[in-house]
Amino acid sequence: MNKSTFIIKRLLACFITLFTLSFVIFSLLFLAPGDPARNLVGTRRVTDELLEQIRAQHHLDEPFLAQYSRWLRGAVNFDFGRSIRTNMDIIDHVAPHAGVTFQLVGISLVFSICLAVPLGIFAAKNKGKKIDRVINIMALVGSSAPGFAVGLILLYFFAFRLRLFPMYGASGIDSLILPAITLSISMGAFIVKLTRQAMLNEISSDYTVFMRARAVLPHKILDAQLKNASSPILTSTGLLLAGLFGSTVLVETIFSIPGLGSLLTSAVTFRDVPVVQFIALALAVIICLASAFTDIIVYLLNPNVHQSSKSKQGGL
Amino acid sequence: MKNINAIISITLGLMLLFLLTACGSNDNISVSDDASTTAVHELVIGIPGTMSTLDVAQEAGIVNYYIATLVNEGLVAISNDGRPIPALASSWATDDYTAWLFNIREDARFSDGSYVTIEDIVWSIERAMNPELSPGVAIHFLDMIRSINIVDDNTLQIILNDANPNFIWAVSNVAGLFVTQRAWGEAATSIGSPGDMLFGSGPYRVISFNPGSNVTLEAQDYYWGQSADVQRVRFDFITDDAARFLAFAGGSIDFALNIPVEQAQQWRGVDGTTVHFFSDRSYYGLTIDSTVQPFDNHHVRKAVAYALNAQGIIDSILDGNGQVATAITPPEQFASVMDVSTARSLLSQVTHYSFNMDRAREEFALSGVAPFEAAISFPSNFPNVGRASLVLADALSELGITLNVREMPLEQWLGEIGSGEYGISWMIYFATTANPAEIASWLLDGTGPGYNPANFTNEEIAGLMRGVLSVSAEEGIEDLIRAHDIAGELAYYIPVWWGESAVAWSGAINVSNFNSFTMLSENWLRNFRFNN
Repeated sequence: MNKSTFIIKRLLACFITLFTLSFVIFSLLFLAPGDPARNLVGTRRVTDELLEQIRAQHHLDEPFLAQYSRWLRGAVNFDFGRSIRTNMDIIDHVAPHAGVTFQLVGISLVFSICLAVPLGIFAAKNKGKKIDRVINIMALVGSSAPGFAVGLILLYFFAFRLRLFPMYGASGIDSLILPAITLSISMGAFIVKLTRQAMLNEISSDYTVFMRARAVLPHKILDAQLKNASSPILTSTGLLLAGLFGSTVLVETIFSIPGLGSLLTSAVTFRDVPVVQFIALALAVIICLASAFTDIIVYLLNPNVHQSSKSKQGGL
Repeated sequence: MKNINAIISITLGLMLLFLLTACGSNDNISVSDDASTTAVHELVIGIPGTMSTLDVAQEAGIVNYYIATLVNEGLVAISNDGRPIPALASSWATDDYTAWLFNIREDARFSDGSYVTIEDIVWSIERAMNPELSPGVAIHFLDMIRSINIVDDNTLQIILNDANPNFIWAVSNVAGLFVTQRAWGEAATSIGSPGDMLFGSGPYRVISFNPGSNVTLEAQDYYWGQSADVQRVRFDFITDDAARFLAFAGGSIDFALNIPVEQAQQWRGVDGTTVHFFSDRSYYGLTIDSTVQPFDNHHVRKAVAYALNAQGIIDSILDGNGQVATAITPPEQFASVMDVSTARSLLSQVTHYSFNMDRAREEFALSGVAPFEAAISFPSNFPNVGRASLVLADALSELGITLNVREMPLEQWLGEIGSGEYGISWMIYFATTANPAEIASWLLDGTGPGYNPANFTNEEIAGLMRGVLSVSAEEGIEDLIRAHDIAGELAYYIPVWWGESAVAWSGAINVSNFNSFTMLSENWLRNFRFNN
């Protein structure tokens, strides 16, 4: 398979994924109980005529396929409609929330990788020693600690007691530090374990033994090990990114951050279909891109992986 | 190994530097970051929830009302005791409750200094009447207005289809009317969004809005009425109760709305804090759908009513912070026509069924209905209602009735109201106007299924309510109470409690005369004062 065929196949797969996802989400929201028109009016007296008028305005009175095809035609033309709840253009409505969440996820990712990868390598290089056990225990605690508890503890000590950070909101980069740390702890713990295991595999591999036997300099051995260990780490980190977006819902609630997670939750419960569709698709696009980006980085760092997969395919 | 140590050291060093830099930018949160203005003493109010748009016409949540009443005026406003008072209309008159004349104030100006014109008011009423543009408030005008006539520059005549003494509430800014400038409204692409924040003639103007995060208002110079001590107010949306308490204890917010009743003691423990309980004119009760079997049986409805221990629920679940409801309308809702104690006395005479398990068993036996299963749902943001449901389910199990309690999102729960699918359901109603008939005009419209959430048909109640709605509030009291009494006797509704809410304020401020009308009343920030 040449490079362009590979890219076309990847894009096609991505397109099919997005189409399927949009259809499934639209179907689920259509079937979900609740009535957006009733939600707009609240617990007050309402007439059928009023509800009909509101439904007609948002085309909620049309059959399922008509609603879906209307949305799809708009989406293809980058017209994602208006929020039922706020009557705002979808992009204007979602953009401020998305910005906050992207910052939060970005900082969390940087924290996780910067701290967890070196710790994982360090633990692997000191396998069985006291420091390895300490790092392992920390990783175990980090991966088991519930996010809401970690968030509240951080909030109490660093925002309330020490007053180093704001206690809520998203007023600046400083207000995202504690939420980012909360998110990073569980993700970082996972990366520590992953990195440690990947490095241990490389340390015990045949090529390491041969390099040592040939008296190759230690830093050159480490370079080779890091290159080979990077593939599973980067691939898994790319996948973890999707989980990170999912975890933001809880953290955004604890720290009162008006991000994408909380917007998506309220849009789902309100049955604000255009908002849910847009956010879900935007996240799917990001995950597809992250996955593709990870593959490219892995390939650039270690072209042998691609070569070996090619030779394996040839052999079959 | 040296390489690894170096990598770790550099990484940790960079992260520490980043953290220190971030910490360094943390200013006092209660001071505005608006560089264009000098330091202003800012009142910060912590709201337990969030808001997507400022436009009440689109999203008629109670917090939207709190903010909009400071920014936009109606033809009338309400006073701190819930009575209609002049706002953009300096006076009004009607002889027959069909033709209404409003004298428009000449000195009312928008926050940019331009005068409010009668055309602005007409345009705002027409927008509020349109369900497509104003799904949140159009219900206040539905099929009500026949014509709007400009008599002269300062006189507006509104002709109604039918006589309606309660029309005055519709044109208040606690119900349906939020006057904005016509030119601004026509140019706006999405009123209430950060790009088109509210624009009005009220005592404050919006200077920033971050959806889901905060709204900041600043006193405007052109307001015709009396100004408040508070020059700037910020509403912060804090979704987690624990975080909100920490923010309050840490001095980041001055005033907190709706603090959880079970946490009141904890809030009181913060130095200088005042925790204030007040009746919030909310009604919590059961709606029994008489079109669903076996709830069409009067004895079944009475059995459920007798099995419900309202006082027990208030004592054990609400920590005593609520009143046993004897009718669907709370006594405070009558404040504009009589004193609350008189109203409470009147409502205590309305037929209701006090907890009595023996009577419950007798009624169930009289019904001749075999033990059955039913479901009741409650909205997830009202956990106390869920606990009360469990108490009821436990009591009904003694009668052989299995009540399955289901928790669901508020939005889903709203969709079930009056759907005719469930025999027993909760009604949670927060009145916004001070009209004594506000709740009853819906719940007691006995015309038939679809007109009231219990889907009952009762010509006597319907007739009484038609009478109530065609005379003044004072004149309609007797019939209103009678309608409550008949509905109570037939147990279409089983009132459980009239709600109380708690607010807390820090020692930095003083709040006077706070009640359920306060945050909807004209320039309600006048009730707030800084202590230094």
